[in-house]
Amino acid sequence: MEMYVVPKSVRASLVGVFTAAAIAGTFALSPLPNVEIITFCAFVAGFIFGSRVGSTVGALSMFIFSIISPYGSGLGYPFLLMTQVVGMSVAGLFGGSLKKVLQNFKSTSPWTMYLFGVSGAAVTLLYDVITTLGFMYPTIPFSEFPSVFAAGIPFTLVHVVSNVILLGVVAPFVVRSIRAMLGEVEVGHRVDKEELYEKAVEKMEEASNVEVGN
Amino acid sequence: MSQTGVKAIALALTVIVAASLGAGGYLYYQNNVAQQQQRQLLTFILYHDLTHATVIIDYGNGTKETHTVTFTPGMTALQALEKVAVVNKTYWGTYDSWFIDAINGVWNNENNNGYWWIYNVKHYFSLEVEHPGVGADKYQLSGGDTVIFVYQYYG
Repeated sequence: MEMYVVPKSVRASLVGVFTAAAIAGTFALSPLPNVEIITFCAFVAGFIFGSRVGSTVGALSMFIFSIISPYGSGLGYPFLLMTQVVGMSVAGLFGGSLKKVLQNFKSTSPWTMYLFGVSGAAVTLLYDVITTLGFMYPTIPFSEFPSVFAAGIPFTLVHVVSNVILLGVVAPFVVRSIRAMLGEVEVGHRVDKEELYEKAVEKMEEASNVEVGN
Repeated sequence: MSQTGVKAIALALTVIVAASLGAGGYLYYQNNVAQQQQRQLLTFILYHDLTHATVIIDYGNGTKETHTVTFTPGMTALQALEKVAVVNKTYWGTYDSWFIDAINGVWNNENNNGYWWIYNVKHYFSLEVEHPGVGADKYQLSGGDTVIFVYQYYG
């Protein structure tokens, strides 16, 4: 798969849109405990725009959401806030890493969907483990981690399952739509630049042949 | 990356996730089983304690007897004592109360030794020791109480 160059301004606006969507969406989902779309947005942003953008979307979204969270501001729990931000950055980094891994695969191919889903489970579990540690420090000794984590396992399961569905089922189609919107061409194998250039020339010729007017 | 590489990564991630979920499930099970066992034990202890009363007879010479009796609502300290010991008593009409003269053959002021039987009650929840101002036949116990009869020197 090759990509056309996307202007920086478009990328910047899309990062803004992703962050806003992540915060607004997670707010809308806040009545459902542990269901959020920040992981989804960071992962998708990372997969399309790269690790740096994905981790920024994740960190920024989580930082803002945690501060204005309806369950209580994260500013009162600085260690928890820190681990939340790091955890969501990891989701973006993961998406960016998979971009290289899956560059020869369509975003809706079974392997992509499977890898997205299992990655969703992995980053969610990692996020829940480190945020539990962040929640415990410094008031609860780390030796109590097993019982504290065990108490939250039903919530962790909800988080994992919701993110597996979001990343494994929804994300591939969202990625495909955004790529189409950006003018990227998705094929099942790597397209060399000459072939891509020829296609672009053909399209330009077609466009120039279109009669404008009555 | 080739399809084989992607498969390898997918497999590795699957194993990591499955192992983590398995470990989490085990942790949850262990935690719940431990909590459940603890609850059952506490319930058992509490049930046992509240359906019984303890009677301690302290002979004042270092000898102590501890007995457990089945508690029934309205049970008095004297009734609990009579379940575990031979009690000699006298009715005092002035006080409308039975006065303990001897427990298991040990009499009040035996041979003018100055020792008399008194009793205290230790409550189960508050752990406070009460010195009742009424005769043992008038004092109603609560489940789990410990009633202590002491042969004590009063001169």
